[in-house]
Amino acid sequence: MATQAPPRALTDVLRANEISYELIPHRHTESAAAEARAVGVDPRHVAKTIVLRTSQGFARAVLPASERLDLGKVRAALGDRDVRLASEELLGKEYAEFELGAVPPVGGAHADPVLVDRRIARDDAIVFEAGTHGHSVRMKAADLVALARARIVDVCKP
Amino acid sequence: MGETATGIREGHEGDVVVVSGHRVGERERTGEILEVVGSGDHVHYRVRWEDGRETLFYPGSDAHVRHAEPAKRRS
Repeated sequence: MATQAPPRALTDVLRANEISYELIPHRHTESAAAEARAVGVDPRHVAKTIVLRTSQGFARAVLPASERLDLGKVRAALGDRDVRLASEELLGKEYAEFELGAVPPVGGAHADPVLVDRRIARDDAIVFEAGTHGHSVRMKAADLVALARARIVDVCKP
Repeated sequence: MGETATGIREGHEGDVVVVSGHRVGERERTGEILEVVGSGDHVHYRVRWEDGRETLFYPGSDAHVRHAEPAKRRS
């Protein structure tokens, strides 16, 4: 079971915005699919957050654990041809508040543009890594979209 | 009905947390407070939801507490 508390970089922003959320501790997992199994939620309703390097800085794409990111769709949505996955080295440096591979959709030093896939956005609730590999957050998808000022688009491969 | 609604920071074991829906047609969610954790602005609750799941719930502006009758309270 998880021992390390979720980073305040996430929980403080939820609290400051008076957003209700549930914290779900679980065994250490290294992928969103494994996280879905650990918390007993269908992977279609568990979100993974992928950090992207853009020509303007960074962006985050939020999509179901069961799907794969389509970079072409992300480039089209952002109007930026220079979009690529952020390297682990860059993630460790720029998102040091969070465990590597567990960056949540919101929170941290960067106020990144956020793209939420339409499959996740239409769910009532969304589950995602809370900045650690041992805790998940469950909250209303609508709250996440509003908080992140996210754009709802299709970012998944067909 | 012997129940009163009150601020989300004032829950006790046995009370019911109510989270309102955002969208048209979305039901409110309810769960029983099993434990009060923290205090003041940092209060949160261990809650058993209608579906049987138990989680730590950090309440926001869309939540309130429905007090159980004193006789039903655990504390």
